[in-house]
Amino acid sequence: MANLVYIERIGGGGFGEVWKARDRGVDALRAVKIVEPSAIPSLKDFNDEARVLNELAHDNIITVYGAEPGPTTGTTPDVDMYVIIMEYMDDGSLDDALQKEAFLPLREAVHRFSAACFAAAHAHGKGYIHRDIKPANILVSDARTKLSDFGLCVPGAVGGASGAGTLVYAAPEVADGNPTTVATDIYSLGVSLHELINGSSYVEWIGDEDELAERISRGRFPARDEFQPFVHDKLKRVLRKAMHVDASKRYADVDELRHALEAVPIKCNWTLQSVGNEERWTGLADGPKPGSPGGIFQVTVRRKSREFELRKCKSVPGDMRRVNADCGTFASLTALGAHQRAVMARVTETGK
Amino acid sequence: MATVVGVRCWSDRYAYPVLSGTSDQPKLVKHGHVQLPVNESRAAQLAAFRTDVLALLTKHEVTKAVFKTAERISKNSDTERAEVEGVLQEACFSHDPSVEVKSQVKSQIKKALDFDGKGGEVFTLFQKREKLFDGLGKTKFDEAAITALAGLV
Repeated sequence: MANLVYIERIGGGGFGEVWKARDRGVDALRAVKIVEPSAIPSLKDFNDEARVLNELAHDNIITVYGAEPGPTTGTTPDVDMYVIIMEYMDDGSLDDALQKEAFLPLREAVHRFSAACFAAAHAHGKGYIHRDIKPANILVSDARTKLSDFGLCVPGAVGGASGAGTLVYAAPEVADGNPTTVATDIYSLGVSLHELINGSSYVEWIGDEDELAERISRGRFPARDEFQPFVHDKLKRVLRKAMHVDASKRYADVDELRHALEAVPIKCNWTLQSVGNEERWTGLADGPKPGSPGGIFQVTVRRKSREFELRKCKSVPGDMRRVNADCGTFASLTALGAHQRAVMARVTETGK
Repeated sequence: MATVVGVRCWSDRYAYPVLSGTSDQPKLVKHGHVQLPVNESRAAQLAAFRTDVLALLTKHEVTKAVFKTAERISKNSDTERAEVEGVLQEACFSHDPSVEVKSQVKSQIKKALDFDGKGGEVFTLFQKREKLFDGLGKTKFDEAAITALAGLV
C-alpha cells in the first residue's frame, strides 16, 4: 500500500473520484483514481485499466505506479476502496484550459494535439482503442502533454460494445450503435482538435441526447462550416477529413492525421482581446524560423459601422502601420465577416 | 524473415518504404513521405521524427534500417540532412540495439543489388520494380525504395 496523503479532490465521474495526493515514501505528487467497489463489476475490470496503462508506457501516456484494493492510509478519504495511483499533471486538462480562454493559441493547440496523437497511435499500435478521447482526457504539465483515462479502453482492432465515451465526441457510427474502431478514435480526435482550435462553444450541446445522436449520425454536429476567422482552408481540410461522417473517408490511421496537421503552416497566433461592438484581435507572427519572434498584426472589427482595419509592424519594437489595402467599410455584416476571414486566414497561413 | 525500412532523409522531410520477405520475393508493407512539423523549432522537429521512427520500428517489428546517405564526394554539404540521419541511427539503437542500421551510398547499393551499370543509375531499378512499388512517386521514393531493396539482400 502506497503511503498516500490525500490533498484535494481534482475530479470525478460515474466511477468515483480523482484525488491529488502525496506519496510520502518518495515525496512526490500523485493523481489517485478512487473507485467505489459498487461502481465496478469485478476486481479484474478495475485492474484492467491499470494493466493497460502499464502495458502502454509511453512519453505521451500517463504513467501508472500501482493499483490496489483496500483501505488507504492518510487523512481523507479513509473508507475501503480501490485505488489506481498515477502520475500527477500540474496544469490539469486541455478542457480546464478551455474554461479559462475562449480557445487555445493555434500553435499550442496543434502542438498539444500532436502529442495526444502520438499517444493514440501508440495505443492503436498495441491493439487498443481508447474510446473516450476528448480535451478533458488530455492532461498538461508545463510543456508535457499526456493522454489519460483508459478506463473505457478495449483491446482489438474493432472495439467492444458501443455507447462508451462522451456522446459529443462520438463518431456517427457509434451514435448509430455500431462498435468503436480506430476510425472512431480518429473522429474523436477530430472533434477534440475542432474544440481546441475554435473553442468549447463550437462543440457545445445543451439538450436532448437522442437528438444529439441523430445530428451526429447525419454529420450535422459539430458544424463543419463554422470556424474562428483565423482558421485557413488547409486546416479546415484536416478537420473535415478527421470528422468525416463516412469512416472510410477519414485518415487511415492517427499518424496520417498527425502528419497532415503538422504540414499545415501556422505563421501567426491570434488572441481576441475584446468582444462587443468592437473585436480587437492581436496576432503574433513568426520570424524567419518557426517560433522566432516576428511582427505583430492588429485587426479591429467594428460591427456597428461595418469597418475592418488591419495594422501591422514588421518587427518588435516598431510602429503599427495601417495596411490600407486590407482596410475598408462594407455594405453588410456578411461581407464584413467574409473579408475578416479572408484576411485573418491569409495572415495565419503566410504570416503576411 | 527480415523486415527492412529504407529511408531517404531531407532536411525537412523523409520518405520510407517498409519491405518484408526476401530479396527475391519482397513485399511492400507500408510506405510514407512525411514532412517534419513545419511550425516547430528544429529541436522539436527532430524529436517528432525520432518518435515517428520508434513507432515505425515497433509497429512493423523492423529488423534492419538502411538509409541512403549523401555521397561522400558531394560538394553540397547538407548538415540539416545529416542531423535527421543522425537521429534515425540513434532512434534505431535506442529502440533495440539488435536492429541493424546501415548507411548506404550509391556504389554500395549497386554492389548489393548486383546492378550492372553506373552507380548513379542504380535508382532506375525503381521503374523496373513497378509492381512492387506501385503507387509510390518516383521523385519521392526511388532512393528510399531501392535502398530498402538493397537492405533485404
